[in-house]
Amino acid sequence: MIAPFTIERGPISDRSVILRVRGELDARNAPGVVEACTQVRRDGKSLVVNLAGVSFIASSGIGGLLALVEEFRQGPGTLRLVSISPAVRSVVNLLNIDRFLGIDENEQAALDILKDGTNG
Amino acid sequence: MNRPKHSAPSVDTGSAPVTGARGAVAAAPKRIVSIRWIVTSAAVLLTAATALSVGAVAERNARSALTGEIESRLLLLARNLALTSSGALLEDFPELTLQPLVKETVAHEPGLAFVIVVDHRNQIQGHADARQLGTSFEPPPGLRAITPEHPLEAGESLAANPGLIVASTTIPNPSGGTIGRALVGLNRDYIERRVAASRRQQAVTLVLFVVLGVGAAFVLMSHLLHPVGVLRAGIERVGRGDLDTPIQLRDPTEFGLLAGAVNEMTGRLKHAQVELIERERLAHEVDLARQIQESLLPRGPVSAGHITVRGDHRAAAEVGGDYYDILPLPDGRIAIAIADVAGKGLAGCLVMSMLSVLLRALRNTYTSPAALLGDLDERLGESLRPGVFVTMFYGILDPATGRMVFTSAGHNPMILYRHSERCIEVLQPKGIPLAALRGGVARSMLCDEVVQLRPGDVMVQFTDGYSEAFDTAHTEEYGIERIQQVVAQAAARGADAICDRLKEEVRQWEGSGPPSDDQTLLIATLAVDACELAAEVTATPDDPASVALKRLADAERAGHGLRLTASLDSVAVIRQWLRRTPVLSELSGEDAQLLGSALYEVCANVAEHGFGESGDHSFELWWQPPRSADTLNLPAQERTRRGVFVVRDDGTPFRPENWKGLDFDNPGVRQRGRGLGLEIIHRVMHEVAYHPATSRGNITLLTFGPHSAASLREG
Repeated sequence: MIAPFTIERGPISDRSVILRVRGELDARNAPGVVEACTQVRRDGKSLVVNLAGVSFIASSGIGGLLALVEEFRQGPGTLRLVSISPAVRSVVNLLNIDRFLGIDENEQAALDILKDGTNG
Repeated sequence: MNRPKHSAPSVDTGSAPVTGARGAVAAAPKRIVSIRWIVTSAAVLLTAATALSVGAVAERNARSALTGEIESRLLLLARNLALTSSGALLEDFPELTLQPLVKETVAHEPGLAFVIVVDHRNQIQGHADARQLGTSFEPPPGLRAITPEHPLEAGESLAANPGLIVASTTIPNPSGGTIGRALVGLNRDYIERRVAASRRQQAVTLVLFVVLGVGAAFVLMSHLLHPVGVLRAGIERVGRGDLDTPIQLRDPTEFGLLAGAVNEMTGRLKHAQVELIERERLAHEVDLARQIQESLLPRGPVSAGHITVRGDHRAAAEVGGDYYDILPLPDGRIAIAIADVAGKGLAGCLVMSMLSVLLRALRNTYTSPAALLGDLDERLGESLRPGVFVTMFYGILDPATGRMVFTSAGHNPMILYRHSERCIEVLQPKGIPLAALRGGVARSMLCDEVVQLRPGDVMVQFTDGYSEAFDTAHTEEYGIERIQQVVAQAAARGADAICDRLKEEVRQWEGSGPPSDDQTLLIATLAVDACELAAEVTATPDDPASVALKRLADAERAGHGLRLTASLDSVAVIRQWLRRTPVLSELSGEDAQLLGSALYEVCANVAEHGFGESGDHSFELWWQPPRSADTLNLPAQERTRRGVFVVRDDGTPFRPENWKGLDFDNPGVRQRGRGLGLEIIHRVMHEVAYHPATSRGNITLLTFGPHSAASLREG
């Protein structure tokens, strides 16, 4: 059975927000995720996107994340992708773009990087 | 009314003729002998017998006592007479003294026959009759000495004959010796008169007691038997069918217990009656439901072109929730449906009726079976309580092409007999039942699959009344494999043969009696002589479009198809389709993931750019597995590489473009984030050939590979 698509948003630290995405990140849902991420950037905060619950990612989803990473590079915040699911991993590997995405093993690792002020 | 021949007091029961619930012949009013009269009569007889017995004993005792008393009195009189006569006898004229004395004695003592004083010469000196004086005394004849109750004194004697009792005592001389005798005789009649008088008194007393006894017994019995009337009235009420009014009787005797028992019995009767009425009502409703259910089923086979569809329904003992329908559509196609409502009884039948109405109302609204079942899911979900759901198969057969578009909401697998190969294919869609989950979950999992029937092919659908029929020992289900065997063995002889053979086999499997669940079959056949549907498409090697058309025709004839509505919602089902499609379902997780991504991108592209996401249109995705038998033992990945995917659509053709690949090292490419769909398609697929605007629309041919996922990562 397909899990319903959900985005859970909440603070993870004073300057960072976390989005936990679950379900199928396909062409229908990708614009919503991109918009939610863009809003965080407008707020001047860093963002951690947890993709552990993503069972499928379409080109619009992975393309949106790739573009968001580039946007966040402009500052002031940072975007980190964490706990990416096998479905996301297979597409990332297919496109060979993991070096551009800023992927961390889990949320804590991403927070550590955000504390250090580095942007992988 | 006839009077009874006997004269014993009796009462009429007074009750109305009691008629049984089923209108049995009423018993004639019965006359009974009242307990009141029986007990009273018994009391009278007993009292009288007792009184008579006691009276007889009393009379005998009284007679004895009276006789003793009289004897004593006679002796006493004789003694007194002797004492008073002793002086007179010594005188010269004793009669002058004795006669007045005797007359006075006789006058004062009733019943005496005589009082006599005789001298020592036995001459009468004292007698009430003066003419007897001086005569010699002759004792009454037949006197015999009797023994008195009290001992006699010297000189005394007591004798009696049948008429007299005579006491005699000697009259002593003051100077010694005796100078005569005093005799007192009493008539025995006197005793009899006294006894008779006593008997009369007893009789009066007896009558008085009897009268009082009868009265008392009657009154007592009337009082005691009063509850009988109340009981009788109550029981008569029960007999008339009034089970609501209890017998109001407060009685400390057994009648009170009886009233309680009757009330308890009435309560149980009422309970049983309510249950009986309820059972009869339910039986009637079940019968009606079965009639309704049968009236909703098709009357017979439906044929269109070379396609014939027939169904069969065998009802369970209890009305079930099976349903099938064969509905000709306005465009000449045939809609077929088979469903099983979870649960039996009236609820199942009602849901089945609802399903029938909804399906008939919606059949012309949707060209997509998945869309129709999605709508049904939402409508049923609004109406049915949680826990009630429906498994359903719905397909649309096109007699012009022999193709069937179908979908299944958690129903049994479809059995397809391939005539040319003499083999069985089992198609197992994995949707969830309608109304099982709310919120359109079923819709998101439903998709239109396509199967091409070829001449002689037979499609069989069934309900679990067949597959889950238990054997006589109730240990093993009939199972889908046995159904497949029956289909394979009987398919060559047609739908009727399959139907008859399967019914007979399952009947023998289950043993005698009606099935425990409805058994429903739906069989579609494409005539063996439908040659025009089997015409081969030829391709010219120099004409890429003709090659594409042939690949499409081959896929349609022998492949597995998925029809998609031109919307992003619809294409989301591709990955589920892959998981149940032969060969593709065997791919490893990563290969399946990548293949799903690539096909999703292709189809999303068609829906989005070819049709502008217009849900009114549809297109098809076909998978043609490798046909060569020598590929059967190859790994799924290799077999997938040797097969072909065909996408056919009637949307706006794309402008063919050469894929050059994206350079992700270029920040501009990353910032745009676009074109990744085509990138995914080309990285996953070995061949991507687009043939726009052929005679059958746009055709895209895709082959998987050639690189494994691992090699792609390296690349």
